[in-house]
Amino acid sequence: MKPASLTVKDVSFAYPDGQHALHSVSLTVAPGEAVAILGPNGAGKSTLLLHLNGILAPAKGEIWVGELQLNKHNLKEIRRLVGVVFQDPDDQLFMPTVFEDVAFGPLNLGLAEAEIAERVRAALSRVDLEGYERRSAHHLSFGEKKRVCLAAVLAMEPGVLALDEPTSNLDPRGRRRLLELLSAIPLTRIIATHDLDLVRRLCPRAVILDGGRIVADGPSAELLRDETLLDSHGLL
Amino acid sequence: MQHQFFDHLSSIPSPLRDLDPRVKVVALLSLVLVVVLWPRLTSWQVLGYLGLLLALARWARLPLRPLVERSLAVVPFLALVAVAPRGLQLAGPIFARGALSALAMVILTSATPFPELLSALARLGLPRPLVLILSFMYRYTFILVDEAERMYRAWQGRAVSRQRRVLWQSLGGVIASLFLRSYERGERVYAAMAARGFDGEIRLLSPPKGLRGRDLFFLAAFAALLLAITIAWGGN
Repeated sequence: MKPASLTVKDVSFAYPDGQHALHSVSLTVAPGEAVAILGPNGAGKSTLLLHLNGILAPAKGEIWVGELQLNKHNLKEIRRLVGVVFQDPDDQLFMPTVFEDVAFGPLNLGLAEAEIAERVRAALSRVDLEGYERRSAHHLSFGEKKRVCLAAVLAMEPGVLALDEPTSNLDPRGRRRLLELLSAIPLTRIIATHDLDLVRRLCPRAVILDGGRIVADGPSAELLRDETLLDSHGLL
Repeated sequence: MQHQFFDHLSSIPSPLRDLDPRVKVVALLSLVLVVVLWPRLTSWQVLGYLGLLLALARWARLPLRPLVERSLAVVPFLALVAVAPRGLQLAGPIFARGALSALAMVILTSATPFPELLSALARLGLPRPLVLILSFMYRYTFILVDEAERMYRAWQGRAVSRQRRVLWQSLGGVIASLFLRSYERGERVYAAMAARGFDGEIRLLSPPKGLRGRDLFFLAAFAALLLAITIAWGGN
């Protein structure tokens, strides 16, 4: 696994209904860094994550992953490099079996079947779900589904992981398990969350997004001590 | 969660379940073709096919009751035939054909895990978009059933009006919002597919697997019995 750097330069975005979701957002993340994106509901966290791999295209601004600037010609390579884990695992696990779900990304990369099988094996063992290949997602616990989603993204051998609310709806054990896995993955991690405890454990740096603007960016220990700041952005 | 019924039967171990799903598809589909297309079925033929199917169900260790219940799901459609001119005369043979075909398909899907059935259909040449649609149907039926159940329960909690008309109206609202939620989920699933490199081309895994001796033996034996029943009891 080779972590990649990520740069968001002056990105603005509005939804088709005219609602402005991002206003000149800029963010630079070094390879291997773990950054939390904090903010209330509707702050634009998910919208920002969907920009990182080109699911949404910015109205203005640039996205860089390593040396590549995101454009429509390298969309596929960018989507391989930036793995997005969505909030609801039922959106991300759409195949009949765990194996096929984890194989979906590598298959789209056009890899040979033997290589795909090897990637699936490695990814499932990375999230401690060996032997789950033939299970169906609807027979898994919520925590297991989350880990399969993570495996499905890892199987593409990305350089950046973007996670949307990874701990929401998880029970305490499932949450602890996921935090352990995430802290052991040596990739660049961008984590959108309300979970302040997760930020303390996993992310040395945090960014606060509110109303589509970055209102704070710094060491999370400092930001999390500033109760006035957290309170004014609905995080306490 | 009420959806366990769906996968329950196909998890029963049996010799029929262990056969290559392709031979099961071919065998049972050919029975359906004969039953539907043979110009005039004699009572002996009907009993013969029924006996063949029941023997198969027994070999697959399937409980009889759910098989019969599911096969009778075609009955309401036959009621439509009975209303037509000369309907009652036609209803008997049509009922026999319909019920036998349904029973054959119920046995096929009950003795084959759905993911295997899908890969068999793909390898037998079913177009990939259809295979993908069926696989989504399988995966999301469970989620839809769960969601509908939760919404129905919430509706029941609030449906206190004595007026039937008001109740039906609000139930209509529940159904409409279920539709909207499914539509939105579809968008999110597509985003998740695109995020893992889906570009519109459907790629399926197809581990090459040859038929084994017992698969061929089953197919030959089934074909011989089918032929014997059809010809020996065919009458004129």
